[in-house]
Amino acid sequence: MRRLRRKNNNGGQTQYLEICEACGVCKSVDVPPGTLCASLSKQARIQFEYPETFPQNYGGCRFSSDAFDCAIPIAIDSHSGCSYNCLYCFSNNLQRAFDRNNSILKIAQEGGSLYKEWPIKQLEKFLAREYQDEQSQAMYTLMDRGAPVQLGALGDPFDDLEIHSGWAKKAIPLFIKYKQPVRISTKGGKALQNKEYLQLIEQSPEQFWFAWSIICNDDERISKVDINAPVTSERLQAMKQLTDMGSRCSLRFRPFLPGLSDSYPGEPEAWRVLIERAHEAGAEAVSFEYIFLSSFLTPRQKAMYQLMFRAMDWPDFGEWWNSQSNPAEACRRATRDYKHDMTKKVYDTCKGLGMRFGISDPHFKELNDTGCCCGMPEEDEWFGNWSRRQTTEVLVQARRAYEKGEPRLFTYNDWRPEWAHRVPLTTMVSASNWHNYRRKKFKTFGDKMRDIWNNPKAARGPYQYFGKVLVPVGKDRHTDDLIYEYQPWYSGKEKKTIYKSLTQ
Amino acid sequence: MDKEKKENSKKEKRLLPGDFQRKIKYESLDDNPKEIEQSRGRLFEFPEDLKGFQFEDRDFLVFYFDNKEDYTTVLKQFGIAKRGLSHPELDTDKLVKLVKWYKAARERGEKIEEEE
Repeated sequence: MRRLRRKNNNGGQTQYLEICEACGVCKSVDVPPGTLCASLSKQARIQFEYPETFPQNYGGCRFSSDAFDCAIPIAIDSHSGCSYNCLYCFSNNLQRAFDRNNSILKIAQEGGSLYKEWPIKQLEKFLAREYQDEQSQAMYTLMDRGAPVQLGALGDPFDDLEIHSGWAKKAIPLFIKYKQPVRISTKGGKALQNKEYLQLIEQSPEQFWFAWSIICNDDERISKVDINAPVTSERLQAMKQLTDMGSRCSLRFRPFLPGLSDSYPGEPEAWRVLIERAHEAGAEAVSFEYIFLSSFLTPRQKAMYQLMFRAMDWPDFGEWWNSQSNPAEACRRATRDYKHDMTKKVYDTCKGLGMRFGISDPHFKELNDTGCCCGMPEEDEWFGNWSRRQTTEVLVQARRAYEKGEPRLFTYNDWRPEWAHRVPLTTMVSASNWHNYRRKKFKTFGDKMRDIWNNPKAARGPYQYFGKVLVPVGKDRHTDDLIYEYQPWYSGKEKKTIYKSLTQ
Repeated sequence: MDKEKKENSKKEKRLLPGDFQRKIKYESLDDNPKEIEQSRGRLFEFPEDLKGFQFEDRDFLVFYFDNKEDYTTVLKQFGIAKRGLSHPELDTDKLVKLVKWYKAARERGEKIEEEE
């Protein structure tokens, strides 16, 4: 690990031995404990030394694997990693995490950079509609209709890597040149108060939507989980500057962590104060979601979760949460019963403040004001053209029809997204191994979505995933696809089953 | 020339890839016509509070009894246990036999208790 440099040898290494023991990755590559565990790097005062320029071999554009219920399926990332190292980060569940990917670890061991960059030339070619490959062609079918893209899907686009490389300084003028609306998910309060960036955005502020990820009202507490990120007040300041300039902003209140997001000693209604502060800073919507815990953890992730539970002042939160969840889920989400009261409070507060309510949590997703859980409006010059062909829109339309007294039935062809049937599944989701890759080589993402639509037992199928409010009522004779209808939730509903057990 | 033009106008216009692209819809959901095939009993078991009780697709009658005694007599006669829902296997044969017997008895001129 020649490129790693210890900035301060104040004994940080020994302070975290308890957590370092949980991992073992550093030991296996013969570096001091804590060196590779980026989540601890701030506390141990170790930083990765960045190369002068990041290797230009990252593929930064893809369809999001969340496209089943996502209104903005085109996802762009400038770099292959993120410097913030938030403890709950879901990208640690993916192959891009160095402790899940031997090839990344090998590069780091050989003295290479942990991070790669998407060449800016490729972004320009992409926006100019020059690519002929199937995935890009499928994306153009959406972009030609004015669909927004998301920047910062797996990592923050305004983190320290950005400050080091300046990728976004070249990208912002390109987005403006090609009139591409961009939804940016960020915590980058530092970079986004920088005049250089603000002057660039100022050229066309209304085509940038900043979804500010903030999960705790308190600066000190948030720095315990968003390890290297700017604190709450910095992010809110940046939000205010951007909304004053004419950009659109929303509060990304996710993941909601009990003990940090709802209340803590001295602030019994921290969640409300945070929403009110965001509203004052110009946020027009809230996107809400409770935490989900991965069920397949690496030793490093286990250590990070331990740190997070400690910050929440709930050391055995993981065990309790998993005991509440459906064990078939890879992402453990507990129950609607547990989440109901807080979700309702957040919903009512948003309504009281005149903000749109978005909820990306599959539990109570029907409460979304629109079919876009980022909280984007249905009618809007720049941000109204998000894709309707996804299941959040199905759920919202089904709920609206039910409330009107005219229940509506849905089958797969009602929301079939055409792009998904052009994109191979393995370009969006890791096949894990060569055997799986060969098995799924010709399967498209559309095939996968149709499969889970037709399987009420699938944890990611609409029946289980949305907590049993989209109920299969039969099969369509024309297509053999299942037909679903909306039936409202009530306490205890999740315990009911409609399918016969295989053991019967 | 005119003939050629006329013939060409009759030909169906060939769609190019770009045309297909324009036909793709992302701005709204569809509401395709559906024909529901109920798969009750094969794949799903709908609890009443989820789906409501589905009657079998057969003709049926509903009786209202004037007093509890008559009601109990009939339940016992037909062996009906699950009164809240219905008899699990409707004993139609037994009922039809009873009606036929009653009808035949009247035709034979036999006296029946209730007619006295």
